[in-house]
Amino acid sequence: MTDEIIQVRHLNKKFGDKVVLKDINLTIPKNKVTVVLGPSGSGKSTLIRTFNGLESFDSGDLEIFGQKIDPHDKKAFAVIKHEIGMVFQSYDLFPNRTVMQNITLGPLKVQKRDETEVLDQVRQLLAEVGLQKFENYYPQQLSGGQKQRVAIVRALILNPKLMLFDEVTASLDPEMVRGVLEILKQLAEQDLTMVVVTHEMNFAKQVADKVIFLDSGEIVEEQNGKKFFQEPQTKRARDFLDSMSF
Amino acid sequence: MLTSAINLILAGTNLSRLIEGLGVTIEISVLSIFFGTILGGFLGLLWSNVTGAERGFFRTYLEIFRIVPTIPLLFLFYYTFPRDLNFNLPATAVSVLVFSLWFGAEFSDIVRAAVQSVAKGQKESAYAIGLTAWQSYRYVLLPQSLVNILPAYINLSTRIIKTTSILLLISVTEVITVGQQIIEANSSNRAVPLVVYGLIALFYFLINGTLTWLSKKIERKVVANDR
Repeated sequence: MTDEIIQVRHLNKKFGDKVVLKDINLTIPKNKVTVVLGPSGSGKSTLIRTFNGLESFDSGDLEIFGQKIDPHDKKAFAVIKHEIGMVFQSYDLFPNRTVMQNITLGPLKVQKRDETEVLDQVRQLLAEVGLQKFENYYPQQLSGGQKQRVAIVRALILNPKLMLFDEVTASLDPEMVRGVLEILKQLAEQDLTMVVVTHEMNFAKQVADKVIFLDSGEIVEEQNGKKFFQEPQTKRARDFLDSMSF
Repeated sequence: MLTSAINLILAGTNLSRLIEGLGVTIEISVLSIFFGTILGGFLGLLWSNVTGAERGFFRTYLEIFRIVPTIPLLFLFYYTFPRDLNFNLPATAVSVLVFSLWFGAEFSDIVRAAVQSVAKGQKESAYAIGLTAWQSYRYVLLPQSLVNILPAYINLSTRIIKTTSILLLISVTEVITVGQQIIEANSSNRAVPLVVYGLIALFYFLINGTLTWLSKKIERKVVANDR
């Protein structure tokens, strides 16, 4: 595998008549954190959802882990999707299952791993996110921040090669945001390949190895994380950063 | 007259015949609900997954059984189709066939609606951790749908049980038919219809009442686990 875990060339997508992604060309580097920024409705979530098949695309080339994805093949992601972890804005834990059951569903039923090994890893990960006492709780008994941490563990337990984070703090109260961002920072330090859609600019500035700035479905700027925040190259990016108080 | 009517029902074979007729009612109901559950469950899951023109098939199947009264359907399958298509099915088999198709149609809609009412994010979450479509239904969508499915399922079942009372029209010897026979055999006693139909009403009340009680009990347990 090359140093680029995802390669996108001339990717286009429409919802009906509305163009949501236009001539997207980008690469996602391995073992780095790529932050996707942009105003609301710019196509950020749609873009990262194409990376695990939750959204299809109309034309263009998408290559993930060296595998070319055929947009017309519904089973295109069947082999690789469990190597891609995703955490959603709304956590989407399964309310009929405990924390432990939520997390072990993937490794036991999809990856068919040994139960003892999985339980050990789960307990270790829950301890790392401060939820070691909550394994038998149901999601309804948890706070938003706790749910999001469980959602992160549920994705990490699959030992993914790529983690996608779609506005994971957007639904949280301010006091819970910090805890979740700390976990993301720890993951970034572990060289996990991450693609993060976020509006948390301070966090993005700290962790981003690369920034992709989207506006109206187009990539306006794609460059080194530090450089983007210090010297954005385009007026649209400058205006966007100016509008975000951080 | 009432006392003699009661004695008349309890004496001889009248009561045992009524219970035997009730057995036929229960047998037809249970078989119809069983086959209808399998059919409706399968179709409901399929229906919840299709879009566009394919939905038309399911909608048409449902509307046939919603719009057309059960009696003409029974007559079609008992009198018309055997004559035109040259096959012969006993009345109880026809009853189970028609009622199963009816139950299947309505239950498929219940399942479809319940599965589709589960938040979209749940399906996406299941997908994101690598579950197949079948695993998503089994571990995530169906358990969450149960709370919505159960009351409607019991309601549909009680309707099936009650509607078996029309099977006398195709000569099924269920409890209503036996009741009619007893009344006709004792037409001189004007209190016999009151006792017979009162007893039959009690039978239906006990059966459907038990189902309703059971449903509430299961629903409370499911909701408690759902928290």
